[in-house]
Formats: sequence, structure tokens, C-alpha cells
Amino acid sequence: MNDNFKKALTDSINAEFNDLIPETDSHTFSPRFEKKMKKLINQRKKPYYKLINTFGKRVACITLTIIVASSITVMSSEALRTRFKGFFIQIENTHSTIKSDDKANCPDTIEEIYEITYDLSDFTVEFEDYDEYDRHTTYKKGNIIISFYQHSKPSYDVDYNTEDAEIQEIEINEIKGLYFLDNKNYDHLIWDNGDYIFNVNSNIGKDELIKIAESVQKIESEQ
Amino acid sequence: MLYLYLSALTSDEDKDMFEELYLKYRQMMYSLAYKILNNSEDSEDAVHHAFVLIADNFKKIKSIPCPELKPYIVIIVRNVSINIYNRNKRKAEHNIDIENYEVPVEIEFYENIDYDNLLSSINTLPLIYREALYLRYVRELTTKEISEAIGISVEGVRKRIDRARIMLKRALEEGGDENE
Repeated sequence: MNDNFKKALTDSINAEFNDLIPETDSHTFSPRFEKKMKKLINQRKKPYYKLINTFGKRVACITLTIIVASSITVMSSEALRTRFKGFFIQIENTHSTIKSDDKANCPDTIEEIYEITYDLSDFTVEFEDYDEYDRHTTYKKGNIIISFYQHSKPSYDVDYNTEDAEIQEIEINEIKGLYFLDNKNYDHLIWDNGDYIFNVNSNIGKDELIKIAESVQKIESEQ
Repeated sequence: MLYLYLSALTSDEDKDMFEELYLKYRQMMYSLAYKILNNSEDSEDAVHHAFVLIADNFKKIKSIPCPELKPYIVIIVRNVSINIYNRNKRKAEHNIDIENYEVPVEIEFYENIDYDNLLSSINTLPLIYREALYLRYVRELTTKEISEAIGISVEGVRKRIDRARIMLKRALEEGGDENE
């Protein structure tokens, strides 16, 4: 490759960027951002599948059957925003951001630990990530993967891959929650037990996953 | 988190280097994103997404000498911000009108052109095209690697590079005409 060409390109880019970059360093990043970055920095496991980096490539086909039936309010042509069963849901093309819509009278952090009590003895724990706001455990057996999350409600702000998904209502131990099958064939269950938000997702099959979700129980108190 | 970032930060050394990059560049990246997006939340999302892309391509990034990292990182956050801006505005990517599609010239075409002529012609190109050429021919990334680095499709990268080469050839020819 011609050195003049490389040098001219590099000089052109550097000169442009010197003018482009503003001289400011005073922004205080939000707790939400700091939390996401902390997770990113501490994350060192390989992906099961990659859900990010899919900005607006395809138009999502999201039919929120239950939510639409509950007469949603479309607040923007860019995204559907609605409240449903204690959740605030913002639907984008490729994903949905789900937050808790009922943060009263619940712990700010994880004070009680919940775990799956369904027999997963033939699975191995593939990944664990615990902090004061979220607990995440991933189990694996062959190509079957089960991920379980316990989130504190005030900090619950999660982006789910709902591209081509249909979000439906479901009951977990008589608690109403959300169900969808993503475009990687992983079933997702999300529910709120009043104190925490739970999510299990897996490619084990919907019926089995519901049994797993129904087995989630409080295990111990964190000191 | 369902957005399993799941980057390829496979060692403590990677993690430390990544954290160092994060602390060193996050304010600059935020400022740059804010300049494009003019919104704090979107700008933080852009910085976060840029770091996800950096983590995903960390093996490649590790091989870039430190002083040369800044342009690479600027290109990533700028493109992520532009993607968010376009997504927000439902605006198609800036599309340069190239009438009567031309076959892009081979890169060897530029070998016999002197530095000053090249620089002045390159400077006439919109920044996104200079960035594409820089990543491809200076950083020597493949189209797939560029696609992963800046979050656009492989086909989008190819088109961008082809257009950049066509535009550069035109700029050089126009510069040459002016000199005659």
C-alpha cells in the first residue's frame, strides 16, 4: 500500500478530529450508565448469542396482543410506550426496554435471595454475576442454556431482544407476567413478585421453563 | 442482563486495558456523542454502545498502538451516534448522489499521486467516507471488521468504501483539471 496514501488519510482524519472533539470533561455520568459500564467491564464470558449491535437493520414485527387489547397509548411514532401488569415497556424496532412501573414499598437493593429450586443437578453453572442490584446465574447442559435473573425493582431497566417477538401475558404461580419467544428461539418469562423482578430465559422449551420459573423461591437473607 | 454484552475480554490484562480505555476516553466520547445527539441519555447510550463494540473487537483494538487509538475510537463513537441520530429521526443514511454508477478504481491508482495532491483531495470527502478509507487502508480492517466496529452492515461498508474511492478519484481528476 502506498505510504503517501496512508499518510494523507491519517493526516486528514487527525486534523478533522482535532477540530471535532469538544474540550469538555465535566459530564457526570448517570448511575444507570455507570451500572451498565461496570457490568460490561466485569463481563468476561463469551456470548451465547449476540443481542446487541442490531440497530435498525430490520423492521421489527412486534404484536403486543395483550397490551394492544388493553388499549395502549401510542406516545410516539418512534416507539411504543405502554404500561402493563406493573411494567413500563418501550418497544423499539429491535428490542424493548422494560422497567418496573411499581416501585413503591420494595427494597432498593437485593435484600433477599431467590433461586431456582427445580432440579438442575445435571446442569453446570456457566456464569454468575451478583451485585447489590441484580443477580444473574446461567446454567448449561449441552446446548441447553437457562439464564435466571433477580433484579431490584428501582434499578430494573433492561433491554430485551424482542425483534420479531410477540409479547403475551402469562401467569407464574398466579402472578401475571410477560412471556415472549425471541428470534433466537429462547423463551422469556418476566414477572414481579412485589419485591423483585424475575426473568428466566432458555431454549429448554416453554412448558419446562414455566415449571422452572414456578420453582423460584426465597433462599436466604443477605447479611 | 439480557443484553449479554459478552465481549471477548478474556483475561485480566484485557479487562485492565479496557477499563483504562474507558476511563481515558469516556468524557471525550460523551462530548462527541452529545455534539451529534444533543441529548444526555442518548449520548450515554452511544458511549455505552461504542464500548460494547470496542469490547467485541478487543482483539483487533489491542493490536493498535496507543497513540493511534484515538482516531479509531472517535470513528466508532461518531458512527454509533450517527446511527442513533438516524434511528431517532427515521432518517436515511446520508446518501451521496452518484449518477451513473462507476466502477471504483483500484487502490493502486493512488500510488503515483503525490502527498499534497492526495491530502487536498481526501479533505474534500465527507468525513464518513474518509473514516471508511482510513479503517480499510490505514488500519487494514476487513469490511466485516469495519461493520462490527461501527455497527453498520457489511454491504453498507462495501458501498461506503466504493463510493469513497469513486469520490476520491473524481476529486483528484477535478484537482488535476484545475491545475492544467
